[in-house]
Amino acid sequence: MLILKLAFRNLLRHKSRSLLCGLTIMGAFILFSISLGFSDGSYGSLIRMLTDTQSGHVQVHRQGYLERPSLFRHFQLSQEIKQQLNDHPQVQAWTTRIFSSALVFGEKKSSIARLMAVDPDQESQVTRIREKVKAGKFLSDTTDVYNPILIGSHLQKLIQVKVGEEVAFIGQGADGSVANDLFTVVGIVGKGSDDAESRRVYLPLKNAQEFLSLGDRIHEVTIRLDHFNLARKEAESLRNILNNEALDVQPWQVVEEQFYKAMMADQQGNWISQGVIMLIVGLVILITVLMNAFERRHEFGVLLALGTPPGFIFRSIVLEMTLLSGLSVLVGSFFAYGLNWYYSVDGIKLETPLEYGGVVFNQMLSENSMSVLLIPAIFSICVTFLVALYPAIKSARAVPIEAIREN
Amino acid sequence: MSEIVIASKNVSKHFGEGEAQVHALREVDLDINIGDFAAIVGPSGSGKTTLLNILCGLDKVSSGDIQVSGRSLQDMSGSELAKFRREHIGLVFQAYNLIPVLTVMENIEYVMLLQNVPVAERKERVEKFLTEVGLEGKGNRFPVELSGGQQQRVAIARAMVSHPDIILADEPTANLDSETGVLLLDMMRKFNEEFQMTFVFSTHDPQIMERAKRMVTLTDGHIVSDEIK
Repeated sequence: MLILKLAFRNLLRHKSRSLLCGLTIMGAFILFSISLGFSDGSYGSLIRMLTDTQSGHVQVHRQGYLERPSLFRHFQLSQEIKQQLNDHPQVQAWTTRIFSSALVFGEKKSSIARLMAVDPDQESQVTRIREKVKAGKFLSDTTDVYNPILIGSHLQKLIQVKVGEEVAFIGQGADGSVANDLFTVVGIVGKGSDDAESRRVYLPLKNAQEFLSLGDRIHEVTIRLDHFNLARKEAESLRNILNNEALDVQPWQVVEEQFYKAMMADQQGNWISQGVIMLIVGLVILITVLMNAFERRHEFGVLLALGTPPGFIFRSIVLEMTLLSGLSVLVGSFFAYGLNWYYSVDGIKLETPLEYGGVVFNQMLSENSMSVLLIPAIFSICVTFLVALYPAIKSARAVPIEAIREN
Repeated sequence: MSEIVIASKNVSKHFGEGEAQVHALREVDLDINIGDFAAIVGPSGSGKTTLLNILCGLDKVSSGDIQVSGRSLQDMSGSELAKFRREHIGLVFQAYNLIPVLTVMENIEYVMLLQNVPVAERKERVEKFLTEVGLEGKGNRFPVELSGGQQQRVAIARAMVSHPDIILADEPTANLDSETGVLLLDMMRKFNEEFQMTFVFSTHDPQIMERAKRMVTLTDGHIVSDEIK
């Protein structure tokens, strides 16, 4: 109690200095928390966009497909697997896909295109493919059209076709035959930029299986979970449940490895800049504590002369600064929570949309979670604790008679 | 024969090195007995404060030996010396040196808190000493709210309340007016008489010399006289 009393009263003794130091810690904490909130929020948005529009959370392929995608690395989705996927509590939805390439011929021009065959009904439950249609209709909204396709806007411009027109595909079938057929453009997807999506053609899974002579075989099962954070754990769980050595079950972090690595590198860069902020704050705190300790050197000399154990003086200084940082963090938490909440609801709109790892986003949202408060709080208190150690040790080791003479 | 509480044998202390070396104390032999009310007097620079600092272990001897309450101070570490002072020695400083963030009561109680004296006993002793030093009703004040004389009373109460073997006071009246000085000296003398408390002062103050039962005179670091009145 005595040590706590001394620590509190010493903080109140130099109110303006304590306030200044406290505000510095609080400012750094809030800055750190918001920066972490935006960082988590942005990455969260990116991951959501990536998984919602493209990859899903977990994918199942035949072994080796991810490393070297090939028309011939296909597999059959047995009833048992379908049942296992349907029964899994964390699986919200799943869909099947086929990928291939083909030469696409319009009336005047031709181009190479990447084909992505989807189950129109199931795909809509896993990704936001339906929202990508900028003109025309989605695949499942057409009933009387022969071989309907959605065509990427870039590709559409290249081969100069319109909704309702026919295009011819020439490709290779899984049985080695030449695959060719006519398809009808029912919709345009993408924004016209030269990205992968705008060069793609979407077609119904059944039509693709027929066109590519795949029978009922597929290349990929794409799974949507309750949250992208569950991907690694549930991929492992599904791997165990499916228990099929021929199949490769991977979370989005592995499927989109380049994106994930770029994101992690970016995140580490953020940690460094946040570390620099805390380093500067640490120096400010160190100066304040040192100034405080040197000013009170005479007092520490008297305390030692009266028989105060050196350890008591050490603990008193460390406690004083830890209390100050604890209080600053506590007060700062209200501001940080409020700001993070505000920006998680109404993020910062970007005038020019940013593209990151192939994902375009136009708003920076913060994330208001426990970790965006807890990590900066622990960090702030630890930095204060660490910088208080040196002045505390120095004061505790003071030679009483020398310290008393310094009045 | 009186029981010796401090025994200094052949104590020398010098500061600095080589030609700049200053000899503050030269082969001082001094025994302080329980119940002494002794004044160490002498001109400025004669070594009074140095001797007092050495007697309480705040300063180390260059040669010789100091035994306080039967224990040699030479080989003790900083922590051991702090513990020893806490348990055996009460200190009164010229500049009072109260802890500014503690109230009068808390200042008086401070050493007992370090000694882990039970709370009831602490409160009882603090109340008693507050009355003894004439500061009833001022227990909740902070040092800054007290006059110099009142602060020195608190400092004396702080030194005495833990019942140390000896109280060492360095020029305790130097910053006080003569009237307050006399009051405090009479108070200390009263404690000396009533409770056989041992006091050693370093002083220039004739009022202390007048009341001292023993007067040790230092000149150039030598004891030149040791007079028992």
